[in-house]
Amino acid sequence: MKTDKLDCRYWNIKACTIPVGKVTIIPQYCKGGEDCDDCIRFCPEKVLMRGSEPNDRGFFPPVLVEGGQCTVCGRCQLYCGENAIFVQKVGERIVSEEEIALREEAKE
Amino acid sequence: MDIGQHPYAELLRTEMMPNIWCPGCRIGRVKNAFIEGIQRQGYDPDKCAVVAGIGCSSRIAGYLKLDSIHATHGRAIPTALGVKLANPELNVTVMGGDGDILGIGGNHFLALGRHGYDLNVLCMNNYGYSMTGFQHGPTTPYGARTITTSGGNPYAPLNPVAVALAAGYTFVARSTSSHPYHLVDCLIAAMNNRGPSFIEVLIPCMLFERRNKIKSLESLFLEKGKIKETLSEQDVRQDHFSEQISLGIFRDTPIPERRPLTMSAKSKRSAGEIPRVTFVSRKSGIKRLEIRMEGTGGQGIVQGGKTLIEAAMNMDPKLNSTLTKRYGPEMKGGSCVTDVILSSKPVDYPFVQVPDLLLMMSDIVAKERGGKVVVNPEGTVVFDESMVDEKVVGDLPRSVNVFKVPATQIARDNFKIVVANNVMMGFVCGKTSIIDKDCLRAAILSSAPPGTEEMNLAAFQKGYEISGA
Repeated sequence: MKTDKLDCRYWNIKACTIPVGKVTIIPQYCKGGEDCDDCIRFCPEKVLMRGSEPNDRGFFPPVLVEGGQCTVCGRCQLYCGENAIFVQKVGERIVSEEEIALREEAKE
Repeated sequence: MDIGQHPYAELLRTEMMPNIWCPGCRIGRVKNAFIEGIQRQGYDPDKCAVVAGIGCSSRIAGYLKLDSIHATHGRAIPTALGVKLANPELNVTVMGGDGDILGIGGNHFLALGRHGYDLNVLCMNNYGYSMTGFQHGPTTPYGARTITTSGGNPYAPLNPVAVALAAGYTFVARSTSSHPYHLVDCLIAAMNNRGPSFIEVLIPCMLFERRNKIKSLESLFLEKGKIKETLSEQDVRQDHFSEQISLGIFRDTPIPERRPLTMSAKSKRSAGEIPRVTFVSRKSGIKRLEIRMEGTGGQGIVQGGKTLIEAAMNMDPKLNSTLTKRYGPEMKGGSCVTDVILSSKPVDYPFVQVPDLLLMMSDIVAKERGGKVVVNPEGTVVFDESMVDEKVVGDLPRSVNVFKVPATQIARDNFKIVVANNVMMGFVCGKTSIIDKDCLRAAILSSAPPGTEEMNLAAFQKGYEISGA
């Protein structure tokens, strides 16, 4: 039954604080489109999606998904060779046990 | 919206943005990994230097705000060696492509493994010379299509990791641009290793993909690349993309200790003062004088010519004088000829055609010419009777002044055989008053090895006395 798995003692989960980040995108540096979609692909929280507005040179920079919660993993700023995206930590938030348990279960 | 707030902005040359790499080229990621490595370890940016060659991969140096040099194609490693030797505190990294470091600069790559200096070589392998349109390079896979191999590459590729291991690099690793966190770890370990380090980074190039109809090299590296902790000999292989590519650190050893070199001990000076000779320069009144000294190699012919010309310059500094020497490859025993021309006008042709003064220490040159002695009919010949056959100088015209002195025998009996040329010089000085005695003595002194000045001067004096001057 579902309640068995959702039991926190089964998962040994505790509530914790994780960082909250602000993603900044510089559209004129981006070369995204067919050839490069690394930041969108490698984001673990899926906060980015392909934008529909082209920049001056014809590439399509990404835009933030509404409600996306960036956790400042730093992958997008490491993966972008053009340095067109970066994150900054702006705060922290507390995640509850239920939220963690739901994420773990969704992975399986 | 401003790049100035980027966490990497302190090490980025933001005025050069946006960069010139193709969309989908992942060389920019290597630049990010390098910056991340420096920031994580906390290196002082003033103590880091980057030297790059030419090519797409070497453009990284243009976007980093560190002291950097853009060297010529293939010669990044010698330039970096100069930087490191000038300031050993710097952390010097060489960045180049596979064509730059392994192709045109292959010999420097091999030599660095022997020399053992602390440079970090970052070789970005995109399997060809990509900046110029993608010509095949030393690492292009077999059968690949490029501009210069339209029917498929007929050559087998070179394995950079295998060559680096054999050349003696103390840190060898392989990574790809699709594994940037692993690359950061490799870079940090390479910078900590105190010896020549080599990292091969596999990079996807759009031109290579399009010409060979590969969907995406980057996803291929992600799929086939496997990071391993311990690597064995099979992992060095990277034959073609259908097999697994092993990533990781192949070798990380400290640089072996080498004995410090010692300079050879200088020859001891003999006890006692070094004799000094003073001379007075004067106008010599020489219009044109051609002197030739010939003999067997090992008799001091070349030194004799040098002494003559130095003495002539001592005597009259306004003379135009030339010295040429001709000898064979034998250390001793071949023929040797020295020509000295002294003239009041500038000398156009420095070789003596017909000498006015001929000093023969042995007859090997005359015998090579078939027994002919070439000398000005109004000139002088001085020969060493213990070494020259009398018959050779027998049929000279009567107008030639011929003198003889047993120079080699005198030297062997009284001093050492090696000063025979000074005995001859003393005799010449006494018999013909071409060059002053003091000038010659000063010239002999300036070139005598330490400890032998007395013997050389004594030999000269003996020859002078025998001449009866």
